[in-house]
Amino acid sequence: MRIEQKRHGAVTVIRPLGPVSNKGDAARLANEMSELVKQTLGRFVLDASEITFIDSYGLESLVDISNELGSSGKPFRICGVCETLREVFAITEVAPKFQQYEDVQTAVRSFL
Amino acid sequence: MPSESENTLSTGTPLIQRIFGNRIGLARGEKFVAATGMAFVSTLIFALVTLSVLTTRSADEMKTDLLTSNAIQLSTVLASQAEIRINERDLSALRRLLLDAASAGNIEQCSVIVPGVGVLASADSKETTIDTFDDLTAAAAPASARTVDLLEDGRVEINEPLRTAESGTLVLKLVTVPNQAAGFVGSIRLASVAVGVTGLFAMLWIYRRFRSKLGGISAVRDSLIAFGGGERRTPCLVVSESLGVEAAIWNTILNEREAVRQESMNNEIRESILMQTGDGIGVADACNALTQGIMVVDGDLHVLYANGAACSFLGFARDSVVGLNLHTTSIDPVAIEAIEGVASGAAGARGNVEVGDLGKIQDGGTILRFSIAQVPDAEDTRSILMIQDITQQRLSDESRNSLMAQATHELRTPLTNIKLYVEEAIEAGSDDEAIRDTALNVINKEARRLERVISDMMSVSEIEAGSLSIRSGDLRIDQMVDDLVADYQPQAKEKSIALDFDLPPKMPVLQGDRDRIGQALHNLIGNAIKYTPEGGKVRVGFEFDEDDTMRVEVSDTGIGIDPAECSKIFEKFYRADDRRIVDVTGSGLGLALAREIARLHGGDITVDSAIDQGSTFTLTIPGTAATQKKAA
Repeated sequence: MRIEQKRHGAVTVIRPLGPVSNKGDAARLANEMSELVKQTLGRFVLDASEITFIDSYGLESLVDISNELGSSGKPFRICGVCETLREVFAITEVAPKFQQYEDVQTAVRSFL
Repeated sequence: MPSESENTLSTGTPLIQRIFGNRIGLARGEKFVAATGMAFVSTLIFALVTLSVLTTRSADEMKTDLLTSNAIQLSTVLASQAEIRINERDLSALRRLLLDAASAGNIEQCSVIVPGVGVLASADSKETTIDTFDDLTAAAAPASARTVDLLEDGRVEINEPLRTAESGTLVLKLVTVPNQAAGFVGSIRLASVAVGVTGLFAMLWIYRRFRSKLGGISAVRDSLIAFGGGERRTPCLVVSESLGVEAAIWNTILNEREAVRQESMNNEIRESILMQTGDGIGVADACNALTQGIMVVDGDLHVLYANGAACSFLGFARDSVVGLNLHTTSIDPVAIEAIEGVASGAAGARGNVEVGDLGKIQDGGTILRFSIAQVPDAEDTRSILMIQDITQQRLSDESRNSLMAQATHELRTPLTNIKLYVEEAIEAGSDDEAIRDTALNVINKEARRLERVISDMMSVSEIEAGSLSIRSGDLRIDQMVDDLVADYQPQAKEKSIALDFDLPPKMPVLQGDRDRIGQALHNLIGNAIKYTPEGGKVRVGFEFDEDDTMRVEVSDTGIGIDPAECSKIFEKFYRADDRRIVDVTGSGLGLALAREIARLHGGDITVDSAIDQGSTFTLTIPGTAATQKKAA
């Protein structure tokens, strides 16, 4: 899994390319997001448009980041969630932990 | 509540006082050990003395009894032998008998006495006063029973009556040597003292071991007693860690208790602040859920409360933020000055300040806005701060301002040209058709340029607002190419540039936004002609692979781009710092817009260029088949 980062003004969009389907991928994604939490004070969006599947490790890393942001009152913004991920979020009841947007632009605009 | 002296035992017990005096101060834990040690020593000494006395007395009595018993036995035997000698009237034999008996040992005096007359025979010849049996008289004292007397110096005197046939009653007197048990008793006493001294040293050694082993426990016990007496101050309850591991662990427990107590106090302070506004309804949790930071500080800028967002913005640890002085933190001095101004009232009861460097945003910089207000009716001077991260807003404002400035410039240039040529056409009237035609051509060209600039700006504005979208439909490439040829061939011809469109024999119908893709290709081809000198070449090549993905290469023989600039030219309003393009007009929006359009279609634009070597821009738009494959 490759991870891209792109700046939209003061907002960083992190975009994993491919499924998060093992412990290594989840750890790498968690590390990058954790770094962004520190560097940008939480001004980042996870663009999940290229994540076709996510396993329990990946889900755990998303919840961890959501909790980390939540402790300082910041929501965890995710955009471009595919139907598969949406179902995973719903079944595992973690969907309320994330602030979901249709696309990157909408998510970035939420920082205004 | 016990006094300090009770804790340190500086007064101690009377026994310890008598021994050590008041000058010695026993640490907590020494009391028990010292008292116990002294009790052990006292008991030991008492036991040794008692044992010594009893032993010596018993030994003395045993020796005396033994000596008496031996003397009686000797007296009995000696009396029977003496009676025989006396009956035989052999005085010399009798005297030898007594001499032998005396020399046998333990007999100091051995003699046969005629009661009331004198000494008939004795081991010591000087004592003899009667020389022969003939001197005996019949008036001798009558015989009596045996007498045994214990003399003061420990000697035993035995008077054994002798019964003789002719000589009347005689008495055998035996006096033993002094009792030798005194030396034995002295040895016992000496041994007892030696044992006592050895025991004392052993006790001291045991005391030291005892102290190291139990001193800690004893100290903890003393501390617990003090605690039970109401002492709660941690410094008064700690014990010397030199007393062992128990003491160290006890101190650790006390320190942890102190930390918990401190944390509890901090929580109470926090809660007391929120209590005024109803902590019972979860105000603290509500504050922590806010994206804005909230902080309450006192007049000296000590933090009384900070929610999660405030700690995050300012980089504070949440568990140690209360009591922190803002002067000692890395908060921007401008913000500190503003907070102080409001806190002291010098800057009014309210204030706002923004800190941060907009130029450092690309490096992760942040712009924070502090809204400060005095808290009314507080007992002491307090201020509440609301902290907001306005980085994205400021960047957006900056971008909008820049767009407006650029738009003004971009619109003014063609409008000026249009205005000039309109005036020229009016002046020429119908007399000079050539001038009028030229003016109309220029006006037409500038109007189209104006239209493109406005279109680009609108599109960029849509990108900024996040509302740029595509209206997908059938995209006939051949029709779009015809329009491009019609638009750009005249411009190329004007600059003597060879513009070639390289098309495959058959072009598919794609799905996409015709206007947007056309807009992107317009920008790419327009740039190629704009930055290619007269006499150069521009080639536009179309390729389609098996899944209908379209790849358009726009290559030119123009001035080229420094490879270091290639990643920046797609940024909005970016224009390369190159003196060769100073006179070339451009908004810096075209490439940014073209790439955004390509990405909205799932494609991208790449560039390959070098200074004076021309440039090649490649636009990729995935076909319907590729899109469907990806979605699957």
